[in-house]
Amino acid sequence: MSKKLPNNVTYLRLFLLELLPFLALVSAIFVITADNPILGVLFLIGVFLTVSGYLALIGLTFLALTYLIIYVGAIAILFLFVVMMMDLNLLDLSELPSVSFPVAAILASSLLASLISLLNQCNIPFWFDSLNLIHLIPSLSSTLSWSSTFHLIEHLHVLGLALYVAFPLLLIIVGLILLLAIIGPIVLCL
Amino acid sequence: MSNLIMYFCFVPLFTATLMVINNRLGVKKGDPAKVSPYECGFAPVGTSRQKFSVSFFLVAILFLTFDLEILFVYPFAMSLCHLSLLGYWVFIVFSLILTVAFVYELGIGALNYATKASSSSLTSSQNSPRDSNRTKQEANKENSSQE
Repeated sequence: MSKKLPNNVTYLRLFLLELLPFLALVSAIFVITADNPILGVLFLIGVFLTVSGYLALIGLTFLALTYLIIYVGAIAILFLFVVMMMDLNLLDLSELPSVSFPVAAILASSLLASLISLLNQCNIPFWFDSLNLIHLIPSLSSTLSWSSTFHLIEHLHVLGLALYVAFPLLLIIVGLILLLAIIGPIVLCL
Repeated sequence: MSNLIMYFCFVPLFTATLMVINNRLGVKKGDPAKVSPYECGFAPVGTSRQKFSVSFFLVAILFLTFDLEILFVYPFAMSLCHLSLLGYWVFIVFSLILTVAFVYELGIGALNYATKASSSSLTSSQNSPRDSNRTKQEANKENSSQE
């Protein structure tokens, strides 16, 4: 503990960087193991909140606030509506694991294997540099480091350049998808 | 800062300890009467779920999609000085697509759940929202003439 921390890093930040993903995992496990579906939706809100806090700590503040507005403010509300509309009896969980455990084990292990293989391809020089999400792109991780990216340009500016200048066609496609998402439920519900 | 870390550690630990003690040491004797939901002392009659109109769900979905459109406006607004004319026209095309969706939603009266709900019991479903107001007035006149 005698090593001096780099600039802009406090012990609280380090502690929260470990605590928030752990809380997100715990909430996610409670989502799937809750008997009451409303309790599941509440723990899903907990997942969104902890992941939003983690993103804010990493420096992606716009994405963190976006998670709060969109995920908690609209998508979790939609989940609550769906749970309200369904007439669910409380599931008897003791019957399910014996039937679905092999399938769940195969699916979960394949996803975990792909995640681990992706992370193994990155060369992360120092664990503070893992805060930079650019290290998830293996070809770029050797060139960029944490300190050289974030004070060049801000998060929103990068998003604006990427969406409107670099990949404008993808934005138009997103607009068409949103058009479909608006017209579809209107046609279905009326 | 260490005070804050102590709070972050101590408070969840304390509450978790209390809940675990309650779970392990608490006496649990479940009656059927204790466990079932309370309905003024009567035996439960069916489920307590009520039907609700799907227009509420539609309001939530339309809010979500237009909120996503607003989300794309934020980076545009913050970086407009860096975007050249190309970025401006991309945004105009994007918002035109969503204006089409908005005009459709306004014209079909998707969010007029009040007038639709009252008119659906009186008239056929082929009326436009403009006609539904007129037929509602006619139906009110009929009701008053019958009384």
